[in-house]
Amino acid sequence: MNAIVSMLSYFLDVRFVLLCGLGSVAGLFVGAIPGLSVSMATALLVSITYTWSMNDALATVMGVYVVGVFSGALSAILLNIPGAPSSVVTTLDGYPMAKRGESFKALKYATFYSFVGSVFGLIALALLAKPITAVALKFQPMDYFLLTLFGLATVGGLTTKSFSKGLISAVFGLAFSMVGMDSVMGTPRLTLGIQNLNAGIATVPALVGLFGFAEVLSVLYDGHMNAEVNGITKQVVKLKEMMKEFWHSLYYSAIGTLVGALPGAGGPVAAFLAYSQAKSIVKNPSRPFGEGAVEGIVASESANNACIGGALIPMLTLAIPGDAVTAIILSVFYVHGLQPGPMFLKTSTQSFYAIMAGGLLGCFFLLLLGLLVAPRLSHIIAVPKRILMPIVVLLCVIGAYACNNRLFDVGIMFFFGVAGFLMRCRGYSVAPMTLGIVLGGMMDSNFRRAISLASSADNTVLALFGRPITLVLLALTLISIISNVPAVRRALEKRKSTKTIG
Amino acid sequence: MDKFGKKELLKNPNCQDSIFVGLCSLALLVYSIYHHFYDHNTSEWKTSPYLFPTLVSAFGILLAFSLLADALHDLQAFEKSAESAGQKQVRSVLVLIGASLIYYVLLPITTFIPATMVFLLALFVYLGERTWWKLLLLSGITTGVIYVLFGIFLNVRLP
Repeated sequence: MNAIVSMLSYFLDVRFVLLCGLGSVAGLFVGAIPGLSVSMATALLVSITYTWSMNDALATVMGVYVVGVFSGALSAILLNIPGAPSSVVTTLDGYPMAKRGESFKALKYATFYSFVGSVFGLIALALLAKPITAVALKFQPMDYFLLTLFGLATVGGLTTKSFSKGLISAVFGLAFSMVGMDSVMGTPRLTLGIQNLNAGIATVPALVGLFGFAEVLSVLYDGHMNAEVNGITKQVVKLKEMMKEFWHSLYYSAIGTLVGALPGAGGPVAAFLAYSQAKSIVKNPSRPFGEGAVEGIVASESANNACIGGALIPMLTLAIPGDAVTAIILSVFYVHGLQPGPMFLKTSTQSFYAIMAGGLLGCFFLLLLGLLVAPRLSHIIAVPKRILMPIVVLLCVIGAYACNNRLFDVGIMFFFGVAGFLMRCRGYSVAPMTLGIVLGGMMDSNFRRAISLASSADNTVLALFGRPITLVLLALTLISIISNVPAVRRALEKRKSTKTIG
Repeated sequence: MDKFGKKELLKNPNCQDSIFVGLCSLALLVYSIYHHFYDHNTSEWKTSPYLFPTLVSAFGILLAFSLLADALHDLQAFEKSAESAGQKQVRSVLVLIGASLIYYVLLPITTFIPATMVFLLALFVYLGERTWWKLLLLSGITTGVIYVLFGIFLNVRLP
């Protein structure tokens, strides 16, 4: 009861609502314009909200996050270019609908079911946060280390076609996270004698580079500077007709929440999984899947938006981000002195309510903006990239500089931007690197604490791995790594195909 | 596999990457071991700041071999994909990186407003905007808005 009252108090806080609304409007544009991403916007926001109060920052970030994930569908439907990676699946049916002059209907379905998915994910967060926290309280340093390793291994396996490349990206992230003053011994480490690196590589400039500057370089490299927009003709879409897919959407949302809670999987995987489920459970779609079936949009949008709540579960209870955006949000927390983890619900209850309230408000703004503003955005989202890209570079420079008011961070941003761009060109995902940078410090300190504690015990191995939770996590990590090793994968696939032929 | 020689293997992106990753990891390993023994005059690994970097570098070396194995396995597939790669705008990327570096150098010398206006103007022109009033308006307004927002409202000490 107290929780509901606390959350309601945020709904009545005009400043909180306005900032969330402002974030939502920003999220609508950022998500809808191809070339700008929610991760980029959130990374830039960290530097803007640096001096704000925690609640103000949370309201804005949650608005951007919730609406930004949804608005990727706008360009997916109108331009056939997903505004966000999680909207890739929406293009499969959204664009064919727009081509037939049904873009208004497609947008309405996308808006409504994004709302359903987002609310579902946030409710799951509210219900599951406490039980997971109760388990997490029993974690010891080795468990945290293994959990983080499991997260990195999962990210490595899911974000790129090659498992080795995913893990290499994570390894580089970990190496970068170790640069700077060692938290245990207080000595500089891996700084190569550069004084500015004594404080470590600042996370925000690195993330702005990886997601902002690298994105601009990729857009220029691909050379797609202009896009053709489908027009929107208003249509009557009855609520009763739309509600036909409601029960299915809850199933897709459950998939989205689960996938979102897995470190690294995120929206694109959830949308693909839900879409393949929709293909098997919807026997008579309005049109064949891939040719403009609204059921495809429902599956993709409800699943990718449900990921928001799902991704926040491990981030808040275990300090392990579920995707790149939550990794950046985690750095917002650190910037404001908050420590997510098992004690978060106890020590920062109000911040948890602020996140929930911001998320739910974001859902309402999503519905409002999606139904009223989105259909009018068709020309704005096609803003020429020759104008947009230089402005984004400028925002990246300022975003990186604003964190510590030093030009060195701008250099860091450029370095990571070029590195991120080269990585993309060679087929490496930057998501594992992001998680490596954000989680490296935690992995390092927990690993050394675990080793120190175990070395004073009689049986070191037993002290390290003798607990049931540790064994489960070790098994999960090993399974995740071994099953993704290319040779093992090929052997498993060969065995599977032999069985099928047999 | 047999028809691909050493040269073809070295041209393979995964093979090149595996060499790069292997060398970086090896450098990290050597650096960590050297600094562990010579910075702290101790052989106690459990408290060493270089314990984790050593572990990470060892893992990196293993991954380099794994990537090399991938390269050997998928050699033929990469030959095909390399042929189908489309025209990419490498020049634009280099120009942007170059312009950004010049901007980075100019910022502390000319201060924020002139450096930013010139930077934006140059990029707008390079990327294809030709209407002069649009060029001036866009670079002027963007610089002004960013200056007011960050420099005045958010108290960022712009260079």
